[in-house]
Order: sequence, then structure tokens, then C-alpha cells
Amino acid sequence: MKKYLQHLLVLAGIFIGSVFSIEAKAQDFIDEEFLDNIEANAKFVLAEPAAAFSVSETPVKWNDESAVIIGYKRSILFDKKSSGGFFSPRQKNVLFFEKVRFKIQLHDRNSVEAFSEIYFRYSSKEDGFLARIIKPGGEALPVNLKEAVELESAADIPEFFKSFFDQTSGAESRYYKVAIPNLEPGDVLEYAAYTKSKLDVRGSGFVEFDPQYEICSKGYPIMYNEIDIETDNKSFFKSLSLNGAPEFKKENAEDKDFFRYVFTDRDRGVEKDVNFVNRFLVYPMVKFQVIYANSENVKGLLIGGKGELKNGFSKDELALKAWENYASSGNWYDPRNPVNMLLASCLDDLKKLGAKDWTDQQYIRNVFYLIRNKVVFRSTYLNDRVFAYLFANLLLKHDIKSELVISSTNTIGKLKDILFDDEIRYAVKVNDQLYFNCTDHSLPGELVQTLLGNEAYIISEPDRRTHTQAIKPVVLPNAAAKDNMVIYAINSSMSADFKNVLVSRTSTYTGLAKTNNIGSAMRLTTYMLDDYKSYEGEPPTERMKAKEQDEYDRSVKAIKEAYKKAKPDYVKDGLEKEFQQKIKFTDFKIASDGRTEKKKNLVFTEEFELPGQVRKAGKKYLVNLAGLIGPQLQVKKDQRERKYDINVGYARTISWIINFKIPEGYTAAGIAELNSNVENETGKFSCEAKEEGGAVVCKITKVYKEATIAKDKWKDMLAFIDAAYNSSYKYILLKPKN
Amino acid sequence: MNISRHPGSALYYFFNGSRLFFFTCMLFALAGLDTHAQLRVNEEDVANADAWARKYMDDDILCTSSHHYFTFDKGKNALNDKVVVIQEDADIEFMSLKKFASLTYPEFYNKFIDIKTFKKALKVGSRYATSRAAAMDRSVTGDGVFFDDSRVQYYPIHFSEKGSMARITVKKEYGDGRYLTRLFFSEPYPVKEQVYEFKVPEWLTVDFKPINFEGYSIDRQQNKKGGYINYVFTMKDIPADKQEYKSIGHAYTDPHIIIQIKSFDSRGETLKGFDKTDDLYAWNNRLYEMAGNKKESLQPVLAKILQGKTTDMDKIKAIYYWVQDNIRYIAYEDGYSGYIPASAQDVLSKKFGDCKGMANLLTELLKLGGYDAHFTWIGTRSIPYQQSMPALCVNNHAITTLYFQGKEYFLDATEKYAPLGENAYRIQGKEAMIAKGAQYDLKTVPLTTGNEHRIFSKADFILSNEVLSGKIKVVLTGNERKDFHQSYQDMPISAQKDFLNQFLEFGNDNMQAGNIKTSDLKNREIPVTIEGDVDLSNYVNTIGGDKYISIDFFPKTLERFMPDEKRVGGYDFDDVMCFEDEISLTIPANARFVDIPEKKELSSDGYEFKGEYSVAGNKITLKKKVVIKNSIIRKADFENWKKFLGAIKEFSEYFLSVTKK
Repeated sequence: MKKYLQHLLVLAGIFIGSVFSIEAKAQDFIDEEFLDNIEANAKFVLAEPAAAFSVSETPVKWNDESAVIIGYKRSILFDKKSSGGFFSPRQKNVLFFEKVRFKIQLHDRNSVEAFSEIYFRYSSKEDGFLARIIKPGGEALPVNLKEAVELESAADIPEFFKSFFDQTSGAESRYYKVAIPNLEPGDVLEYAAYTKSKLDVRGSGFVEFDPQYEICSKGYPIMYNEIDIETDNKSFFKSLSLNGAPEFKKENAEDKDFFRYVFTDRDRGVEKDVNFVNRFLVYPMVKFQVIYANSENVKGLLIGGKGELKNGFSKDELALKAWENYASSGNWYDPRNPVNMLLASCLDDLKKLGAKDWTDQQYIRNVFYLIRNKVVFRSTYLNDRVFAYLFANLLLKHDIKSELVISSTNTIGKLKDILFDDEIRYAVKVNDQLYFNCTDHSLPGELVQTLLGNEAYIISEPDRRTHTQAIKPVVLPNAAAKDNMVIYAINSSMSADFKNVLVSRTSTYTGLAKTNNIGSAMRLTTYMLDDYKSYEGEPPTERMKAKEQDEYDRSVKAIKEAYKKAKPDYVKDGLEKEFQQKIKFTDFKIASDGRTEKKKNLVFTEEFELPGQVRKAGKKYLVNLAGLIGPQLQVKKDQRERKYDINVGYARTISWIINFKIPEGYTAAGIAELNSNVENETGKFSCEAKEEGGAVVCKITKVYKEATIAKDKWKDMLAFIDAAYNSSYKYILLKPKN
Repeated sequence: MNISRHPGSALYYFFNGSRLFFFTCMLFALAGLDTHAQLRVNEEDVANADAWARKYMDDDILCTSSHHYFTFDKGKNALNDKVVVIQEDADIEFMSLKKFASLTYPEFYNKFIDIKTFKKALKVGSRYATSRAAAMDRSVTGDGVFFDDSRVQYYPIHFSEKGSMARITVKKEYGDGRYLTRLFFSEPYPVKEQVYEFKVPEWLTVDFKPINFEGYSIDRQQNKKGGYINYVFTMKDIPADKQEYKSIGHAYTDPHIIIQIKSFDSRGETLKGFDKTDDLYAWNNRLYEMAGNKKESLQPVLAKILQGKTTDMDKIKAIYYWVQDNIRYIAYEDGYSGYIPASAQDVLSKKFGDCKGMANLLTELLKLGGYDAHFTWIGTRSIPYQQSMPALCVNNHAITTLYFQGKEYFLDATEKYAPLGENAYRIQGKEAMIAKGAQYDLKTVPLTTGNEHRIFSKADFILSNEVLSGKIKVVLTGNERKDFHQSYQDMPISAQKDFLNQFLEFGNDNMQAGNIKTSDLKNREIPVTIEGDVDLSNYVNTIGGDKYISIDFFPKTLERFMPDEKRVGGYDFDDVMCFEDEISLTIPANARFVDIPEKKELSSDGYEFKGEYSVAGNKITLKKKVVIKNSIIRKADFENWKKFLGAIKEFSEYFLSVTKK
């Protein structure tokens, strides 16, 4: 999804100096003239005292790991030289001095291969880089950069090599790659980098760098990880450590007008949990952000005081900033503001449709669908602050008052842990009904998975005189397993040659199960063509001239033809992935698209043949009827120990009603053997099978009862997960009557 | 790095896979806007598009004409040789067969090819309007190459009307005519007419070798006019060349021309091009000798490698394996340096190189050790040509040939964990051009069948209650052993244990392996043996007191090679292989087997299958063998191939029935 609009607007006026300082150039070897500078510029980084980097042995406990990072240190100094005059008329640039030191011991061929090419930035003559290999005997061999090759794009540079500045500012500097000679398992690879970057800050009020989420564990164990941020006392720094991660500490810098914020983590292994892990909620992590600014120009940003190490915000601070951000989404004085343009476009449409005569209920619903229609024809979704702003302002035009609700994303953290503007989520409450941001297919009031059951505040506009603001804590609605359903009604039979199982599967999705599946179901269908009906709009052809209408009709015809041709392959590919076998696809039909209140559920039918479900035993056949539920999760031996709490996304119920027609001349056996039932407080798996009217009828249910489950309940979860897995391998027997 | 017109270019598919353009156009249409400049389309073009759309139902775009005109001149290359310079002038026209369609037209270039002019024009009414926009430009360095000079310029072309037309105009110069090697007729889109025309001056002797012309209607004209001979090759109504999984190399099946500049006159002197194999060798060898090897600098490392080795065979192996194990494959290919091997001392000090560099180092180390080793050029199996065809497209790989005790050994240092005497399948059956100073040898790398490259699985299960438990042993030989080593040795050490487990679990999710033992996995010469105890749970179906079990662990991977109705071309597995299973099941004494599947045996030139169950008391044994003897399955053989796969599937899907006595 698109980044925060305000953020974009803030950075819009800033030219990123390092990007434009050197012209784009074709891929080539490094200019030899650079070589004199580049190593000299980085030499001092290695010379700085750092005990963590003098280590030559890695812990025995990590001998079986592919590699061990001995040290990783990033130091970023923000514009020491401009401290006296930042944002003064004569001040053009803010400078960033970045030092990186990285040292890794490579244990096997895999890590040697992973580090056989390394990357460095050389975007200005001040940038520096040097690397060396330290052999097991201690001999240090410098890496010659002479054959470094310039990269056309820095997009795919691995984590450890991209400058912090480029990562946080989105700048695209010039990078090179070099093949490391003479690198072998057992070697230590060390590099030091120094970069200087500048931002042209003329005309901008402040510089807000992207929020950073530093997860302590990496792909390799790490013995020492340090991040130093040094800024002057006019800038803002905030950080919050979660899940047991160390905290940033504030220290005095050498320069009295500067502060250092230092994060140090040691002895961090690789995380092993595989299934149902939400990294941000459980892994030790520190999040932080630097905002370089003077106080007069940072309205609307969630920040603390200058020089303060802010690690959280009070309810009042959060509410105030959220409102300011919300209120500044549009700007009535700027007709080219994209939010205003969207708002104006909606108002224009509503006027044409005679919306003033609509009832309040009709108006609310139609405004939601009108915004959705705008979203349908955008390449990106709106963020929920902009949605809330549009929705509430459009309602206000009809004298419908609404309330603003703020919360946090439940995959990132709790409301109390909000640290960045981007983490604030918005929704609108009208009377007792909540309205959340929409996708192409949302219905008014439909819940959003990332906001389920979250703590939230209803906030009012601050009183201009008293500077007070009403804040009412609420809990957003949750959704139980029964609210998020998938029901597969499967009619099946043997093919004439008894080699395949013929399947007609009607799938009905509700709640979040629908939300998560409607995108693929509606893909390559022409839902957008009739979307205007949802808000009682006019057909696009209504005001077209004959020539335009002809063009429109021909376009629609072409699109329909193209989608009709592409859809079967798309559905077939999906089914083959689902059942992990080649299938023969027959048909796909949507009975209810789930995009209107009248057709609230998503219902579609797929017809196909599965060749992998039938086995022969003499004249008898075995049919893997339970396998029609598709492959089930297998939790392997080494995954059965659990370190962290479990997150399954959302509670849900999946039901299969399988009706298998017993072929003429055959009897079915082994039906009772399919029956099973495992249920506990985390979930359920049950299978009830019986013969009925010449068919085997099998009702299978799998329920994830809660979205989040404590790690000590992992065994309970395994009980029903294993039951589902085991059940999917059961066969029934078809025996000839004679 | 031979220059050829690549049918099925990945770039074409990369740029044309998206349907976003449909949606964008619809957006504008819905908004009543005309921003996509719906160009006026000629009625005749619309009518033609209608007609051709019926013929090319699966295609959005037709190339209505593609005319390439080649002229020849004299010049000098980067080595200051007098060479033939070739200029190509091409006009290519496209027509949209749908209302909305798009393609990206690429022109590839490098240090041997200059793009002089590259223009796109769109047809408005009956005239073409040239676009002012310059073509996009980017590197096309492939996976596995660290750096090369391959680049592409390309134009995206969007059509918003059926019958819309576009024209591409290209002028390119090949700075050394030797590097224009071949021209294919087919393209990723259907072509109404593909014309290659060559205006050959009298001072030039050139041959245009037709390859795979049989079965295709390709018109060849030859006219003499004003001191030139014009050669014109025309092919019409060429279907689109679509990419398919594991397809046979285009050079094996698609018609194309190999351009062979034999000689040319310059100031009264006749200069050689590639007339005979000798000429190709002379060129290759000249570039090889430019490597600038300094043998003496290899001596200290060689001494270390040979320390403790007493026999010649041990010494040869030590050198070969040391290069395999210690030199990483990293390729730089830039202009002529893409053809000149890096010096042996350079590769040794960096511990990386490409195939030429590694072959050069290996050759020099062996020579320094006193052995009769030679740098060698070879074409991999992806290329169908013999060395009798003197063209640069014949060879794309470099190895070392060792003559030892009356036998040739073909040593490929890029093949990690390959034992001496075993050759990668990719060079088997191919002619090697072996450098011997002023002379050369041509020798063919021996071809093997699948039986040498075997996965043999032996398992003995005992049925106890609902669980099968027992011992399992897997033995890998030939390329299967080498592939195992390449995967195992190169993966993180933390993942190796799981990998071994999975190897015994046959890809069966119910199987749990434990107590794993292996052969010496540091020894690449002995078969890899992995054995352990296994439990197979959740596998026995007990119905009405009887048990139903399968002990046939069919190699699932072959399912991917079952052609569907859309498959256009044959398969090339790039390998030959053999799967052999011997699996027994012992059941309780009070039980017996019923419904034993019948023996099945199928054999053809390229593949064979044999499967049989035998019962002795309360023990049943399955012996099964699948051999892929030829890596290529041609489309003409599909019916037989499908029956073969179907028969294996049917045999493997049998369940044994176990009932009480």
C-alpha cells in the first residue's frame, strides 16, 4: 500500500543530493581514479577501538550454524557542520555521516557462497569502503576493489550492505559489487564502510526518516549488534524496545550540542519457530525513528521534545497528534491536493446523483460505495486515514456527524506501543456502526483483520480554547470462528474409467474468510464494470456521445474476451497448487460475488477432475475422499517445540460437506473409519461420515477458535492439526457387488 | 556468448506477462478520456486483423513482416585484425489482433554489436509516425554471470485497437563478422513473413548454412547483380515460439541459418575467416594463448596439492579435485575478454573464475605436474552442432582433456564433486576440440545411459499394528551421486541433517527417518549410501478387518513430464537417470496377501520400466526399475510416452490387500 500521504508531501520538497550528484551511468567496472579515495576514506573506521570486533573465536554453541556474525555496528551522525544554522536561509543541505563495520565468520560453503560477492556504495568522493579476509591463522588479506562492477540498480542489495541513509530516505545511490577472492570456509570476512550523504532541505520544514524495525535476530547468529545515532539537540529521536529487546540509551556526545542514542544487543541466536509466528509481536525488536527538524515546522508528527529519548506517547499525546494528522489530510486551500481532488470528485458525483434527497442510511451506504468505486480504479488502496477523512467529510455534507476512531495494527503492536504516525490506524463511527477502510470488494462495516478486537480510542476535535480533547477508550469488534466461515459443498463421483474423481465444489465464504479470498475469486472478472450500481450511480455510458459509447462498448468487449480466456488457466493453476497435483479443469462460476449487501457472501463453484485420489486393489478401488479437503499442515518433529505464542491471523471455521456418489455395482466400506473428533479450547477437527441415499456423505470441520493462542497451548493445537493431517490420508473402499 | 537472435527471449515474456494494460485502457475508456491516443486505424488493417485473429487465436500480436538486410564491409576489430564488418538494416511491422495488446520489442547488443539506429513508429491512418521517445536500455547479465557486456535496448509497444500497427526500424553493426553466428526464423510472436537478405560483395566468400529446414517451406533465392550476389531466405506463416517447461533447445528443432564467413580479399590478399575447422581452432587457440600463463607461479600450490601423493593417479585426482573444491565459479564476460581465458595464476590467486579460467588453471597445474593435459573447447548438449561446422556457436564451454595411460579423460572443473572419469551429462556425446599447439584433436565424450546414474532404494518393512517400520537404504551413483554432493555440501551445515532425513523419506510426508548412517560423504568416488530406520505412520488403511497398503514409492517428479493438450514441443530432461526400488513388506504370520498386482514391463528406445511383486510366505517384495535412457522425448513420441507414464502411474497406484488367513 502507498505510504502515508503526509509523509510523501513532507519529502516532496526535498531533493536527495546523493542521487542527483552523479549522472546515471551504464554498468561498468569501477573507475580506477576512485580507488585512491575509497579505501583511504574508510580506513579510520577499522582503526576505531571496538572490543567486540577484536574477537576471533565464535561460541561453540553456534558451531553448527552456517556462519556467525561477530560484530555489526552502524553509526549515523546527522549534520554536525550545520548545527548552528539548520534551516536558516543560507542553509542548503543536511549532511549524514555513516559508518558501518561488519565482521562475520563463515563456517561452510553455503555462507562462503552467500558472501562471495559483496556490495558497497561509492556515490561521492567522500564515500569509503574496504574489506578484508582474515584467514584462520590470523593473516589478513585485503580485498582488491579494482574489479568492482557498478550496479544498475541498488534494489536487490542484501541487508548488510545498503547504507542506512539510502534505506530510510529511499535514495538510490551508486553501488558496486566485488567478487571476493580466496574466500574459504573458516575465514572471517570483515568490511568497513563510510558514506556521506546530503539532503537538500531548501523549502522543507523537517526531515522525517522512515521508521525502522530492527529485529534482533538475523539469518545468522550475531554476537554483537550496535546502532549509534548521533544528532544535534534540535532533532527528535524516539525508540521503543519490545519483547525483551535491549533499549536505546541516551549518551552525551563529544560535541556538547549533540546526543548519542546507542542500541547494543549481544549473543543473539537464530529464531527457529516456523508455523504461526508473527515476528513483530514475539521476536525481540527495537523500533526507532529520527526526525530532523526545528520545532516550528513539525506539526502533525508524533514526536517528543528535542533531545528527548521518547519511547512512547500518552493517550492525550496520541489522540492530539492523530487528530492533527487526520485534519491535515486534505487542504481546502490547495485544489491540487490529491485528497481534495478525490473529495471534490466524490462531491461532484453525489451532486449529479441528487444525493441531497437520499435518506441518511442510503447516503452513508452510497458514499462508502462511491469511495470504493474510486478505489477500484486506482492502482493503490487509500490509507485508512485518508479514507476516514473522505468518508467523514462527505457525511458531513449531508449533516451526518461521525466520530473518529484510532487504533493500532494488531500484527505490529498494541495501542500503547504506537511510536510512529504510520502506526496509527483510523476508522469512522456513525451512530453504532464502524466503517473501516475499503478494498475493491469491501462492504460497509466489514471488519478488518489487522484491527480485530483491538483497543481503540474515539477521539474528538480538540477544543481550540481549552485545548482539551475528548478521548473515549473502546474495544473494536472481534470476530469469532463462526463469523469467518468457509463452507465447501463438494459433490463428487468416480469418472467413467475409475481413474479420476469428478468434483463439483461450491465454496461459500463469509467474514474475514471472504475478505481474504475474494481478491483471487474476482480476479480476471469484470466486477469493475458494474460497480457504479453499488452507489446507485449512472452507467459510464450515460453521458457519452455515440462515438464514445461505441469505443466504450468495444473496450468492454475486448476486456471480457481477454478475461474469459485467462480465467480458466488462473483457476486451474490455483487448484493445482491447492491439491498439489495436475488437474483437469472444467468450469468456474460465481453465484454471489460478495460485493453487495444483497449478495453478501462470496459463493462460487469450480468443477474439475482429480487424478490422484484413486488407488486400485484387485477389483476394488480405494478413494481418498478425505483428501478432497486438500493437503493439511504437517508439523514435523523439529517443529513441535514452541518458543513463542501462536498467531493464526483470525479465528475461523472451515467446513467440508462431501457427497460422494457410490458407483453403480459397488458398495462402500471403511466409512466409519473416517470418523474422528478432536476438540479443545484452541480448535477442533471432526469428521462424520455415513452412507446416505447411495452416497457417502462426509462432514468435516476444522476450527481455529482464537486468533492468538498462548505457547503453552501448542500441544492442544497440535492435537487438532495432527488429526486433520492424519484424516486427509484416509481412504474408503469400493467393492464390486458381484 | 555467441550472437544469435533469441527466440523465446525471457525479456519478451517478462514485459508481456502483465494484463495491467487492459485494465488501464478500460479505466480511460470508462472515464470517457482519450489519453491513450486511439490512433486512427486503417479499415483494411482492421479487416486483415480480423482474418488473422481467426488463424492465430492464441496470440494478441502478429508480426506482419520482418525484413533484415545485411551488407558487408571491411574494417578492423579490437585486436586490430582486418575483419568483415556487417551492417544489419531491419524493418519489422506488428499488427494488433486484439483491441488491447502490448509487447516489448528488444534489440540486444554488446561490445561486438553497435546499435546505430533504433526507432519505433505507430501507424496513423495509412502513415507511420515515429516516436520521439528513445528506447529503454538495461543490462541483461544472466544468472550465474558476475558481469558481462550483454545489454538490451527495448521499446514497449501498446496497441489500443484491433488492426493497430507499429513499425520498428533498426540499424546495427557487427564489428567482427565472426560474432554474427546464426539467425532464427521463429519469434515469440507469430510472424507472417520473415526475410533474411544478404548482399554479398565479390570480395567476400560466405556460406549460409541452412539448419533444420527439412519439413519447413523456406524459399531461397540467389541473384547476381552489379558485383554482388543477393541471397534471400523467406519463411512465411511462422507460429509463435512459446516457452515451455523443459523444452528441447530451439537449435535442435527450429529452422535457422548459420553464417559462415569463409574468407575475404583485402588489398590483393586473401584473409581467412572460418572456412574449415582448422580456422575455428586457430582463432580459439589464438585467444587461448593470449591468457598469459606464468606456470612457475603455480608451483608452490601444486607442491602442496601433491604432498603425500605417490601414484600418478592419486596426483591427477588431487589436482582435479583441488580445483573443483577450491575455485568458485564467478564469470566476467566482457568483449574479447569473454573469450580469452583468465590466466592460470590469476584464477589461482583469486580462487574464482569461469569455465575458461578454471579449465586453464586445471590444464596448467596438470601440465606442471608432468601430465599430458590440454585446454579444450566443447559445446554442451544444448547446442546440436558438430565441430565440422566452423562457427563460434559450436562451442560454449571449456574443459581440460587429459591423456593418461592410453585413455582420454575429460575434466570439467566447473562440475563440483565429479569423480575422475565420470563426465557431466551436459557434455556427453559431444565433440571436444582439444588444443595441441598448432594442431588439435577432436574426440567425442562418451555417452552413458541412465543405468550409470542410479538411485537404488532398498527397504524392508514390517507391518505391526497400523505402522510400517523397518530399515531403508538408498544408494546413489553417477550423476545422482554428484547431484547429491552438490546439494549436500553446498547447503548450510545446520540443514544437512534434515536433508539426509528427507532423502530417506521419499518425499512421503508420513515417513519419519532416524538413526541415519552414511557412507564417507567426503569421498566423491564411492557411491553415496544413506541408510536408517523409518517409521511410516498414518499409511495403513484398515477397512473391515483387512489392511490396504502401498509399498510403491513412485518417483513423483515424472508427473511433471506428462504433456497436456497445450504442449507444443518435446521435453529435454538434461539428464538420464535410473530409479530402482527393492521394497519388501513382512506381515504377521496369521495374515496373507491378496490381489497381488500383475508384473508390468515396458521398453522403448529412450525409456524402460519393469515392475514386479513376488510373495514368499508372509513377505512380499516389489522390484521396480524406471530408466530414462535418452534425455529427449520428442513430440512425435508423445503417445508412447503418455502410455509409458500412465502405465507406471497405474502400477504404482496399486494397494496391496492384507487379510487374515
